[in-house]
Amino acid sequence: MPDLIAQHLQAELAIVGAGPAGLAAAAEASDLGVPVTLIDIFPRPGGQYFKQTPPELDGVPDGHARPLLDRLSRAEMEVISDTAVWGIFPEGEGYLLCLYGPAGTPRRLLAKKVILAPGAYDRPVPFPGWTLPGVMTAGAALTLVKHQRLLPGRRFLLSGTGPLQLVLARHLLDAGGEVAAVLDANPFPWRAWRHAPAAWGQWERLAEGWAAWRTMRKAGAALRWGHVVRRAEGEGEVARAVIGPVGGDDTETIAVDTICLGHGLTPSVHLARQAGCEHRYDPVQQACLPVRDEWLQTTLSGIFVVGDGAGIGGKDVAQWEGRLAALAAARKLARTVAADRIAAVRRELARQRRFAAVLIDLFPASAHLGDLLTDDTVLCRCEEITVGEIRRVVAEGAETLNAVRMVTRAGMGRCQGRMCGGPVAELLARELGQPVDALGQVTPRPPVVPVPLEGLLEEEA
Amino acid sequence: MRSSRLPRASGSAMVEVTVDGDPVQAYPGETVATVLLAAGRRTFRHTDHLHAPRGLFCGMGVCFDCLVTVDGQANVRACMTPVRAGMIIETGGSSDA
Repeated sequence: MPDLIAQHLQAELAIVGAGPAGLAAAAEASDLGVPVTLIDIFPRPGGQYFKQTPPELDGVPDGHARPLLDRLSRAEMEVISDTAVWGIFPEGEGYLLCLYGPAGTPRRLLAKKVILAPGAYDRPVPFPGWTLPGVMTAGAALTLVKHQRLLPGRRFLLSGTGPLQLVLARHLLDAGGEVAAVLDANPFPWRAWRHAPAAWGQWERLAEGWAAWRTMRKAGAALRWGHVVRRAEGEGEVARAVIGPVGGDDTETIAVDTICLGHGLTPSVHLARQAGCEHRYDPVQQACLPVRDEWLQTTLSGIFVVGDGAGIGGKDVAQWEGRLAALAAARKLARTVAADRIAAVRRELARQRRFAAVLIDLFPASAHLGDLLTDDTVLCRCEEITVGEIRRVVAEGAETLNAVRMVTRAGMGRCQGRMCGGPVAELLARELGQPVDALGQVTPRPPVVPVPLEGLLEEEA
Repeated sequence: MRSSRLPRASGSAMVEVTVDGDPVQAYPGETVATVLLAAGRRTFRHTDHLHAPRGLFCGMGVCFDCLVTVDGQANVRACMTPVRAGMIIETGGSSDA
């Protein structure tokens, strides 16, 4: 066995995910002399917040990301891009990471400590017609217009909640698009003034929101509070959106060719759950989150989760969490860590968390969106399982998420429940009249991302 | 055409790819999804059971809705795949696919 293990690529500290959290963790760890192996699914580091426009498309790296990205060229950093981590298993004193990337790249990595920085994706909110081409997430539209230099439609409807919608609206308008309306599922945030102390000092964010608001006003795009898209219609693609008040009825049909859904983000927890880290349902975030100690270590010793993958907090919380976990990992790896650095990182993290909590308070995921579902609404996009099919198995006695998955196959398709997991849990909770955390959690299984059978082997066949 | 390219850097040369047998021009740095959308195609495939049209949804490799065939390899995510000169892209975009 020792010989076998010796063949694996070895790392003192493996960091999975090269967004703000992973990049900051890598920078902090390398400052302390810890060699870092950074693994990322995308061709270029940056994740979603710091996504880099391809240089061929005249991409100029984000000014905020530049210092972190520049650190990656240091000798003690190894970056493995374009590579998925499909499973994590305990091995000796550390963990074995199973990788799948381009031909000729390593398939296994043995790491003493692991920091997971998996990020998040747009919270899926199903409604009739949400599978039609022309309906896309706000994240997809933002990536297209900012980083692919493509305006993905002519006349847009934005539906969701929170300030990121305004940012998207501004980018679409600047690119020459027409924004018919921006719908926010939450009421106007009158209580925002109460949060003024937490927002104090966040001038850059407030300025961005203000600029986006001004652009929208000038373009005449309506911002409608307490409204949501209720149905998308069209032959083969989106031609119309039926909108109305949240919890109410259809009120208006508007002609649009593109609908962007921006109901906030939901954490990517598949890898941490597969590894065996305990997760609990968080009613504020309305998502399952990893249980962590004050060092952001999970219930598995030596595995940390940082950034949006541990609860949505945005890019600044993510970076400070990454730094704190890096300090903790370095201590465990017998490096000397200055007490005043730990105190400074904790202080800044606390400040950023206060602001992140404001956004969650003002723009929560709406509890009324389940009203929109009809029996023929597709809930599981991969296996094409409808709301009606799930209601039927609930009527037949299914009471847990595992039971619903086993009987209907919802959540067993290629995305492995990333799209339907939350909506199925919310539907089951509504049907049974129980809280989501009473339904159990689906058992995660490797590989957590689709990998060809050959890709599971230790060596290329 | 619903999607439109924004101005590119001056002097960047296009490459040719094939989409369902037709020659299509693309810029290096674009993903397959961008090339298809810019070519006016919003439906990338039809589903197995309901034969429903699907296109780009999450745009970041999570949802697996934007699957196409690239150089003979099926089930490739269009949103995650950078385009290359000479690439042969096949969609399931026609309704009888």
